[in-house]
Amino acid sequence: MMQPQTPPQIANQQAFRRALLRHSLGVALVLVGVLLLAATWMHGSARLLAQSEHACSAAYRIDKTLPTGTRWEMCWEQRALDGIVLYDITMTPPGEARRLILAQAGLAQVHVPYDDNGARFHDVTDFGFGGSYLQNLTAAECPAGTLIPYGGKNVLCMQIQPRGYAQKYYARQLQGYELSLFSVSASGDYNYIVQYEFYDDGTILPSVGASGQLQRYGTNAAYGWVTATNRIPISHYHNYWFRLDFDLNGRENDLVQEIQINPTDQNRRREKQLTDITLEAARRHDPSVQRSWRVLDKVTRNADGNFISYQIEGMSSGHDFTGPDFEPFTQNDLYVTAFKSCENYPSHNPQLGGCAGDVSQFVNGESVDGTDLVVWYGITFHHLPREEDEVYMDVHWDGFTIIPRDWTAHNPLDNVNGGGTNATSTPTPTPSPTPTVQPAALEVDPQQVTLIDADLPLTVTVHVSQTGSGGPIAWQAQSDAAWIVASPPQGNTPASLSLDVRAPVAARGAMAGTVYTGTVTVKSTEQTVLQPIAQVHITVLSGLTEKNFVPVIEGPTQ
Amino acid sequence: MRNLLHILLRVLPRWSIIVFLVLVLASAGVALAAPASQLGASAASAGLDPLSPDEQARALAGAAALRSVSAAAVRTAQADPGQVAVTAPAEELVLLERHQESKDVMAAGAWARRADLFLYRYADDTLVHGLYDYATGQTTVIEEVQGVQLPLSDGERATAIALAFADTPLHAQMADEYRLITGNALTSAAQLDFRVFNYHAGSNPEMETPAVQACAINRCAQLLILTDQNVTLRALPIVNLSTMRVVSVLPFDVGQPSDVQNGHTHSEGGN
Repeated sequence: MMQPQTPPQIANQQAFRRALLRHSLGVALVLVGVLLLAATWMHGSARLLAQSEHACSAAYRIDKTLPTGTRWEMCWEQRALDGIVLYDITMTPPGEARRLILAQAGLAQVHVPYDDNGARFHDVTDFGFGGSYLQNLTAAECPAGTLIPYGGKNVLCMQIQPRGYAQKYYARQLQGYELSLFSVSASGDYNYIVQYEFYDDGTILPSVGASGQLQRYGTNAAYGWVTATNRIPISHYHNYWFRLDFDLNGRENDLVQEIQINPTDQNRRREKQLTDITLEAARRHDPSVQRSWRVLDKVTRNADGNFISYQIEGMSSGHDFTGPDFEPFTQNDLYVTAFKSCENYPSHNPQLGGCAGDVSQFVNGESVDGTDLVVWYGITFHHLPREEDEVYMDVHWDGFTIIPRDWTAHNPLDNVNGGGTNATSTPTPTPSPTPTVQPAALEVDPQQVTLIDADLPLTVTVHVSQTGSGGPIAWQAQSDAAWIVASPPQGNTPASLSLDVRAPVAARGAMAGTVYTGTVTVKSTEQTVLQPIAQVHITVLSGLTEKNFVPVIEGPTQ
Repeated sequence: MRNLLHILLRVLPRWSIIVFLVLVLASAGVALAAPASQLGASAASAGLDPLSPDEQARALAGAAALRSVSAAAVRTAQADPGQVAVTAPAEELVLLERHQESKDVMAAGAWARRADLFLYRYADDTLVHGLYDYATGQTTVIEEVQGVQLPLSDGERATAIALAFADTPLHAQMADEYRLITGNALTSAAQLDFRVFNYHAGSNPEMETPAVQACAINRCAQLLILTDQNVTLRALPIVNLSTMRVVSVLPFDVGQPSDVQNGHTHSEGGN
């Protein structure tokens, strides 16, 4: 039986409860303090981790996802001799792993020997491509791009732009995109446009455009070309050398392999030959056997079990330069050397820290088998002047490609546009020679719509049709993005489908270059339709350029 | 504010407020201390960033440790009697650049910032390589070498132009060519435009005279000269900045095969 409580007991209990509540609040306050301390520490760690991952701050970091889904990341720096240098070039193909390709890439020399032997310039080391020689770019030079400043000048132009077909196979087509970066360095009377293009298919294109004015004239027509002014601009070479510090998926385990296709059986057959370059080496082009080279990682494999690699291919080997003995670096086109921090230029390398002055001397028998290695690659353009070179020269481009080989187990762009076996991108069957009934297929036009800084909302009209025989095909439309509304939701071919594109939730105030993608699937449930699914891909890019854009509609089916 | 404190003291135990304040202060300490201790003195710049203006200024101040004479010390030369005397610094800072750390260091993700300083000492034709550490503010001499030539500084380019214009034979060559091209007399360096770059001895060893070969040790410049209408002169002089003398006027092709051997195939048009 419960005893009635006396007033003092009640008072004690109330005091106890108040004290308990007071101390509980105190403990809660301390816990808040502990959480604050932990959060601050973790934020600091995360910041360091972020720097650890990128090693450069936002002003010197490029991180762009192309409309087709491929992401390119890198850091850049302006250096007095080199001009612009790129670091930690990393690519993430759509739906694939993010991997490092190059620890560093840069134009390391422009060697300009004149045909009359009157001058032999080494522009990068003797002029310098950075500092005051790096030109201040204007908005007009960087259409639809972003100018990136350093030292009070716009030294880099970054553009995301269409590059034409990525793929084409009968009715299937895919428009590709690239991230382009270029700077301009003055050297003498030449202006060199140093450009790197990063494709959505993983290809990297380093190139140099030579422009400006002819800078040496002579009196002997054997060494030049007589111009209308009755002066003789002297012919010369531009030997461009790139230093490529490959670190495929990390700095270890890299190996260069030479690829060539050898004629056999009295030129009736061609046999592939792969040769590992395990020691530092100097190699020449050989177009007769399609010689090229690839850098592979001896550990990392793609989903099919093949080693991931990147292949170096010259786009043009029509011009070739072999200099005199005192220019030993010109005796070969590609060098593979073990990484050394003081080996930076193929000629006139500052001989600091005991380093040699010429890439041919860097090659001294060290192992490059599974080690951190550097590839030096040279391309040549012989400039025989013409009258059109005066007063100002048209830009002459020279470059080469670095293309993924087995980086992924399939073409990563196949996944773009809903590729695979049951989408609009499915290859159209080869027509039969005596067709009787052509299977029906559902089609949409356009298949891909890119909206760059468009004023949203807007409506995109898509034509839904069919190919092949048979009556109208019934279809249903479904959007996978809340900001794209398809109407009507169903219909029969042929029909117009309106896609009401609204601003993606986070688009307002988003970072420049942010990409949003959505897909509208038009699907038929009729069993007789061979190709029952068609898709429209909508890409919205925010803040890339000034607001003067209209929708860019791509990818008509025919 | 006082009322709020009263309420807090009534609602919360005193010890909890003291512990909370300690934790808040500790958080502030962590936030402030992390960049300084783990990223070096230059918290604003990450590892691969180029040197910021502030970092450049600090490293330039650190260049004093590399000098053997005052930054104001000069050399003077008069190429020919009657010509103006040219004065140039005795020592020239030719390059300041972010120090490229080793890959082992960079593998850690974040590292202390350092800068390379290169000073050219004309007295004994030596390139002094110093390393400025932002964390300590100290400059350490790494190496002193001869025969290593980095691109010219702005000051050295100006010196080369002054020496070229003060040289009697070269001036005469420039004046002749200028008159031929423009029809006018050359009276001022302002009528010409110059592109000035480093000349490495050995770039064309078979054509180099002993005076040019001296550029293997001396610091030399080569000049591309244009009229004010952007027409290039044939003169392609080499100036020895160490001796303050012009050592070559014309390009190396002088005396090469004549037009008789030059492969002319057309009587009209010249090609």
